[in-house]
Amino acid sequence: MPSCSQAQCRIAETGVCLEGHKQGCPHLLSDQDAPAAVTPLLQPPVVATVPEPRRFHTGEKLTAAEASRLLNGKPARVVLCVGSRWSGKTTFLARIGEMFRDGSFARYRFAGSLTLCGFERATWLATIASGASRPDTLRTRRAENDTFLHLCICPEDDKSRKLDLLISDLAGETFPTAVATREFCSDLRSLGRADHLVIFIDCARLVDSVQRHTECDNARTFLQRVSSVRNQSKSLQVQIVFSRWDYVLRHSERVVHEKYCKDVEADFEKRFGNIFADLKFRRIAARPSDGIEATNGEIQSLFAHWLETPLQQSQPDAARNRQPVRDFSAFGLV
Amino acid sequence: MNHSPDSTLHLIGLTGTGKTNFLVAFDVILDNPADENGLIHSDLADDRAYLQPLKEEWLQGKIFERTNRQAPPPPHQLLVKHPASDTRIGFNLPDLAGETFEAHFVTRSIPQDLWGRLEKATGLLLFVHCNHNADHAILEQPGFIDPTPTPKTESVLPPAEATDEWKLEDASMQVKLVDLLQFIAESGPRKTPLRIAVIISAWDMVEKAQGIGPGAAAELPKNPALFLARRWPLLNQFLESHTDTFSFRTFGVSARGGGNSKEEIERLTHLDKPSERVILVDDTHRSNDLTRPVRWLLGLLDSTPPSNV
Repeated sequence: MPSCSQAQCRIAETGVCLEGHKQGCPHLLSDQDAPAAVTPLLQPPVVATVPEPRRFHTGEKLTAAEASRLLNGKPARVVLCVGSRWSGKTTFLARIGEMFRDGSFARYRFAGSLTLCGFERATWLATIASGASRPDTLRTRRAENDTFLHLCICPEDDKSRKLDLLISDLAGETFPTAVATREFCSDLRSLGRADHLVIFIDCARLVDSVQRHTECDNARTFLQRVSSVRNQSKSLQVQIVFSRWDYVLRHSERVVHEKYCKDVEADFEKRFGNIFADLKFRRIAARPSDGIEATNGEIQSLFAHWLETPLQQSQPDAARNRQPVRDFSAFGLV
Repeated sequence: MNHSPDSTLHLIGLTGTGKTNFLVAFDVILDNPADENGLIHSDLADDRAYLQPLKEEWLQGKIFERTNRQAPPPPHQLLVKHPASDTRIGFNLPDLAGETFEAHFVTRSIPQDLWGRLEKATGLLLFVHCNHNADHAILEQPGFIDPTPTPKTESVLPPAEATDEWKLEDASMQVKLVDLLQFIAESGPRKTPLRIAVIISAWDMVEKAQGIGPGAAAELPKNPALFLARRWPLLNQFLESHTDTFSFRTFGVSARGGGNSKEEIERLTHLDKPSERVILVDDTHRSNDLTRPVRWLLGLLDSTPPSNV
């Protein structure tokens, strides 16, 4: 154990330097400098015990295990957002957090969140305080797959009724893998448990004739994949979001692109209308540029849809909601 | 005569929210009651080494130095009496630096000794400054940069990656406060909800603020409860939705009574009764009685219900 030339320093007993040095303290004595031990150290040194501080939730996105614990305690709705890179998933979620923070959410009121830091992180590059020159969003990393933002809210007209929501967004960089490989989708715990699946189709790509077919095909293929890997696809509510809608609104051939989106809707309805519990389409611009207003009403409407749509629950799920405390394995972790 | 057990009220608030000013002005008001139902000093505590010098500075209109987190003030007690109910109370009002609460948020922890005191607290005085931004302002994209907005292929390319990572210290003020309250709520249910007096400090600035345009009244309400709902929505909604855990009421307070300019200091010290500097607004009630929030916390105010009931 090192010792110190300063009389007040108790590094020899506690291992903590008086001046806070982790290494390289100039007062530290080498073993040769230290006085020879009078008696052999037969007993371990007495270490002063400082009570551990009371620790709380990290404020960051919940892991699947943490989300499972929350689901064990109370029913919550689970939402999974997927889409290609830069399609606006995180910006959309950041915008939900911003509307609660600025009090502009109309039908629901904020009642808590275990992931306030996660929401702040998502918004940070769109704030003046960040020093950014233009609004941007921190991208979701691959490691954040199967992690969850949490919100507890209550309806405007019934503050005693709390509703919990867990929202996961799949890192855009892994979306091609999700489209291409069945195993990846099978292993996605958020997909297995989701009540709502939101697929983002990026309008910045839809207005580009080179990229638009790929963008739509990826969404289609992913939905096919989901219908094959999910046991209960009839219990899954699906929303297709035409994201970054401002790219359509300000396009010189706006009418053409609006019609294309209508055609995409019809195609998806035909292919998947009977496979999932519900299929809805939304047009969203969460953080548009060039003076176009954000579609806050549409974002709030989608948020309300997650909470208000009756779930097509399978029998075990119904039992889970009656006795949430018995749900030991909401994500199949135990 | 009733003798209540010693109570602990905690002053909670981020840096520069007026906690020390409140504490010292409160001490002044105890000597110069502004309301016949207010609290008064029943006796002087044995040790006033912390409060007495601050009181002198306050009376001279001086600006306090920030409370030092590294050298926290010694514990001090106030011995008060409520003549209307013949109740004597001795209570502790630790004056912790705003950085302390910032540190709790950043480390996601509270030392056991403080946690123990918070669990036993009779009530909290939660401070926000009227001139602080509860949230970070969002960058608005100007609408007249590009007169030919037709998107081109390159506009689809991702924007340049910014390097600035968000840090816990960067969180907005209302997020920090809500998370601190969530920490406290994690202590589990109490027999009765914990009372929280939300103090909007420097209220003189709100009263003096000139409205600009027809929406000014909605932007800057002169009623403290409305002000909190409008300017600190996340905090307000969180408190409103936790009636089983918290019971809160909002007060507008100017403990110093005015600004820091030479003219303002002259005006404040010119008043014959120093207690007249203090402004206390509680819904439609306006007075100099700074004991009103404390009386509400101690259950000694009238039967006016809290804001979230």
